[in-house]
Amino acid sequence: MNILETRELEYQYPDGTRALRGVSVALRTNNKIAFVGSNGAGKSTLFLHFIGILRPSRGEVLFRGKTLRYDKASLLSLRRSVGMVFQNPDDQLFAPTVAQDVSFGPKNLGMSEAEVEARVRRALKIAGIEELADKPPHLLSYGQKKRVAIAGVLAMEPEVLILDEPLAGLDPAGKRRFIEFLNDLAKRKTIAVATHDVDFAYEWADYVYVLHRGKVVAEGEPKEVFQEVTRANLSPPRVLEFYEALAELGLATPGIQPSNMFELVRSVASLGVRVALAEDTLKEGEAVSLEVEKGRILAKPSREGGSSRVIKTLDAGVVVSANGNIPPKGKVYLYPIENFDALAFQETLAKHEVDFVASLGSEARLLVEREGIELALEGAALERCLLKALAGYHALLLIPQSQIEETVKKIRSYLSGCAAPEIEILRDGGNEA
Amino acid sequence: MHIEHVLESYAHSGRLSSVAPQLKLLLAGSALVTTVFSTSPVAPIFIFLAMSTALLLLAGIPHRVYLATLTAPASFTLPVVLLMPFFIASGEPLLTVKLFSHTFVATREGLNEALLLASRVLAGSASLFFIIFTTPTAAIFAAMRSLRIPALFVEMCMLIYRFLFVLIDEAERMLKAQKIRLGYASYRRSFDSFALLASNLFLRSYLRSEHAFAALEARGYRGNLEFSEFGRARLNLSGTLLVTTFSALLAALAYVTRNLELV
Repeated sequence: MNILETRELEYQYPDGTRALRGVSVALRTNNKIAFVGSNGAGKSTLFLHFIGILRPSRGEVLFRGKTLRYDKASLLSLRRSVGMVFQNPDDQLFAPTVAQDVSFGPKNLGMSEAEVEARVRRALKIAGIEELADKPPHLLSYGQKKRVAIAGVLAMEPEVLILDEPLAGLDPAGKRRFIEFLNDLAKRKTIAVATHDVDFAYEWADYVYVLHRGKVVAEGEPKEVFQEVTRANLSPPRVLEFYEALAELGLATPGIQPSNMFELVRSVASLGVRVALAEDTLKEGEAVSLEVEKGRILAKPSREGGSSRVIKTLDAGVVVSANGNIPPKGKVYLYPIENFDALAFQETLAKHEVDFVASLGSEARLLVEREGIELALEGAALERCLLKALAGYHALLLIPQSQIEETVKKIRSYLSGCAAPEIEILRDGGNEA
Repeated sequence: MHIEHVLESYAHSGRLSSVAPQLKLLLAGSALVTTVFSTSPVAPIFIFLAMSTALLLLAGIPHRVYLATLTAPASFTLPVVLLMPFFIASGEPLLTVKLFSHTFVATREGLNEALLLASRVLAGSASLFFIIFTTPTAAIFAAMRSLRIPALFVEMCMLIYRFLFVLIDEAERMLKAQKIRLGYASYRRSFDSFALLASNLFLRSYLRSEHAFAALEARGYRGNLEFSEFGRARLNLSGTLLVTTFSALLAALAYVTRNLELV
C-alpha cells in the first residue's frame, strides 16, 4: 500500500502563485523516490503538503489510503510516521544543544524521559554525530548541522523520511558521504528527496517524478524518465549524455541505458575493440593475444594464431579487434569491517598487493576515519572497485558483513557476460576462509 | 577562533562547570542585586574581587583571557571616572581646570558618584563573566526552568540565543554584499546602506520565523518547546547553604557600608 499519496493536488499561495497544478504522486513503501525539478517547480510546496503544513486549495492528500484530515490528532499521527528534513538546517535547529534539539520530537510524542533519551542516543548514532551531543548548533559546520537536523527527525522514528534538497550546500566529499548515509537509511525506511541534482537522482532513486511548473511531467524508473528531463529545464544525467554521444558515433553498444559509470564503460568495452600497447612491431592483420596489466592492455604476437587481430597501428600502440574475452587479472577483495584489525589489515594489504582501498556505507566510513585509512576510491565505491579490477588492479572494499550477500549479487549482475575479475571475501581479519 | 568558541569551551571544561547551574545563577544574581542597590562602592569592589578570584583561582580561567575580557567594561569605566566629577556641579570643589574661556570644576560628590558607578560596572561585569565562563548556555536555561522562571520567558531567551547567531550570520553576509558594491564608500551612502540592511534583516527574520515554525510543526510542536535536560548537575545542601550565606553576607556588607565614601 502507498503510505502517502496525493490526488490532483492544487495549491495557490496567498499572493496568487499557482505552485501546484494537479499533482498526483504516491510514495511506495521501502523505496527511494526522487522528485526532480528546477527551482520553483513546486517540490518544496508538495513536500509541505506531505506533512500537512500546507493545505491543498483543491485535491487531496491520502495517508495510508485515507483522506488526510487537518485536526490535531490526525496531523500528529501523520507527523509521527512522516518526518521532514528542511533544506536549511538553521531553520530547523532551535535548542541550545544538539542533544536537546534531537529530544524535541520524541518529547512532543509524549514519551517517557528514559525512552526519549534512548531515542536521542540512537538517532545521534545513526547520524554519526554522537560526539556533538552537547555542542550548541551555532558552533557546527553546515554539514554537521544537516546531520543534526536529520537526527532530530530520525529520533521520532518515522516510516517515511522526506528531505528537501539534502545535498544543497555540501562540498563533493560531503555529498558522497551524505549519499552513503541516505543509502544506509533507505535500507530501513522509505525515503523521498526533492532535488535538482539530476546525476544524484539518476543513480540513487528507484522511482522518479519530474516536476515542472507545478505539474508532474514525467514519472517512472530513472532510465525511463531521464531522457525527457530537458523539458523541465534540467540537464540529462552526465552518464546518459556521455553514453548517447558515444552511441551516436558508433562507439558504444546501442540500446543500453547505463545507470552509472561502470555500465557506461562496459557499453564501450563490450564492443570488442581495444587500443593496446605493443612492445614488438606488429602489422595490420596480425594475430595477437591481449594481456591486462595494471592500468593498460598489452598486445603480444600470438604464435597459435589467437582470435584477436590488429586492425590499425598507432604511434603508441595498436588498435585490436578483441574477439572473446581478455583473461582477467584484477581482483576485488571484500573485507568485512567487523573483523577489522589494524595490524592484520596492513598485512592483508601487503599480502594481496592491494592497489586501491574503498569503503561502502557509513559504518565502514566511520572505521576508515577512526583508523586513519587513506581511501583511494570515494563515492560509488563498488562500481569504482570493479572498474579498477577490470583494469587489472587489486581493489579492497571495506564493507559491513550484513551487506556482503547483497553486494556479491550486485557484482554478479554487473559482470554477467564478461570475463569477471575474481571476487574474494576475506575473513578473520584478513585470513581468507 | 571566534570569541563564542572560547567562552563556550571554558564553560564546558572549566573547573566549576560541574557545579549546579542554579547555584551559580543564584550567586551571580544576588551579587548583581547587591551591586545595583549598594550606595557605597565598598560592596561592589568586594564583589568584583571575589568574582575575579573565583574565576581565576577556582575556575582556572587564564589571567590573559580574563584581563582581555575585562578591557571592554574597563575602557568604558575609565573615561567615566575621569569626566564624571566635572559634571556634578554642586559640592566641595577638588580640582579646577581652565580650558579656553571655560572653567571646569571637579567636585568631591562627583568623584564619589563616579567611583560608585565604576565599581558597579566592574562588579556587574565580573558577575556576568562568572556565569559566562563557568556555565554552558544550555545549563543556564535548564537552571532558569528549575528556578520556576515562567516557561514563556525561558523559551524566548532560548530562541533569542539560538537565532541571534543566525541573525548575525545573515547580517554579516548582507554587509559583505553591500561593501563589495561600495555601499559604505561615503558617509551618506553608509547611512542609506545601513538603513537598507536593517529593514532587510527585519523582513528576512520574519520569513525565517515562518520557516522555523513550519519545521517545529513538522516535529509535532504543540505549543511548548519541550526537550530533555541531559546530565544536569544536582543541587546539594552544602553548596546551597554556602551560596545563601554568602549572598546574605553581601547584603549585610552593602547595608553596613551604605554611608561609607571613598574620598
